[in-house]
Amino acid sequence: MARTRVGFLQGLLGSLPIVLAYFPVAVSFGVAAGKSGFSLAEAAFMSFIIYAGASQFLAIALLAGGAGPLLAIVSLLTLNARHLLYAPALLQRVRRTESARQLKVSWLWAHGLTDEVFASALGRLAMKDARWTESWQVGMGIGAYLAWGSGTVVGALLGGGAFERWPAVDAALGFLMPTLFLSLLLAMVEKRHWPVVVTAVAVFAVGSALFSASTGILLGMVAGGLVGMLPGPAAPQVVEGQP
Amino acid sequence: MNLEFLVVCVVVGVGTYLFRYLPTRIGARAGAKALSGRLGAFLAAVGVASVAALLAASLEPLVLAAVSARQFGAAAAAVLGLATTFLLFRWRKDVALATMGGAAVYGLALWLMP
Repeated sequence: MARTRVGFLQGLLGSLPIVLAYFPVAVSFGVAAGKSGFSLAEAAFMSFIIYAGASQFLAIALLAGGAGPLLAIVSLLTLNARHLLYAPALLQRVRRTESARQLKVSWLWAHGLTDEVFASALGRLAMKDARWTESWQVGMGIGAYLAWGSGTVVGALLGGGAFERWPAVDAALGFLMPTLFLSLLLAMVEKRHWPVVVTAVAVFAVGSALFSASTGILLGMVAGGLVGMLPGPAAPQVVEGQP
Repeated sequence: MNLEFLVVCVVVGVGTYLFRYLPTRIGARAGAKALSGRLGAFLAAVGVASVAALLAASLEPLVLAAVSARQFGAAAAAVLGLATTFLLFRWRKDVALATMGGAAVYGLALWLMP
């Protein structure tokens, strides 16, 4: 039986929903950075080197508000700490494949392992053929990375109101993140996962209300993971050769 | 570009990169054995939990706006958009189609609402 190709080009094409979701958010970031007094070069530099949306918005708020560099660094790194769990969770799903044993360019694709790219990789592994390659991951990462970087530059150049003339398009682009995450969740979730999902959402809500959205995400992830360790239907049933 | 800005960006950029990259080296060395058992169960569930939490986070501003500012039109459009995503995914099992279809319905619904 012919197997689906899962290479660089497929990854690049697969990044399209993320590209469409990232671009307008990155434009918004570019606009916000400009309004906060940062230059085009500074906004672009931040997008290409940090490449983490939520922490970039926080960074411009902190730095423009006069926060010291130490406070900014600690706050931003704390916000991004959830990324520590992404590669282990991804590799756990591909650990029995050739790719997982022989990672050659993880130094390259790791930089692109954002929330959405990570979720899309898990979505790929939830497909029927359940294949993942580093080339696919690089393609997916590059598409998303370029969308984020170019969106920032466009935003910084255009200024505010880039999509105001097309309100339906503006609204649709703003809603791509929820529909992307819902699609990915539908691709991954099975009946036995519902306790994990309910726990993650509930703990997120409490964590977000008490601390911040990013802390809520981290707490929700950890709480859901802990529920997955409990014996019972929520515990993952790992099958040889399957994610 | 002032020095303070440069230092913050470089330190946070390198730190975030290491958060993403180092576990790929540690995970690869540890191999399948270390990622099996209870840790493996935890990480497998973390994947589902993270997408669920990210979905909740992406909907949070809409929910808060509906509750505090009584923007029920946006909430109704969001329900339509999410229902479209759900139905399209059930029909075609295609992430891209379901993502873009749901967002398009949300945008149109919001635009057409009085």
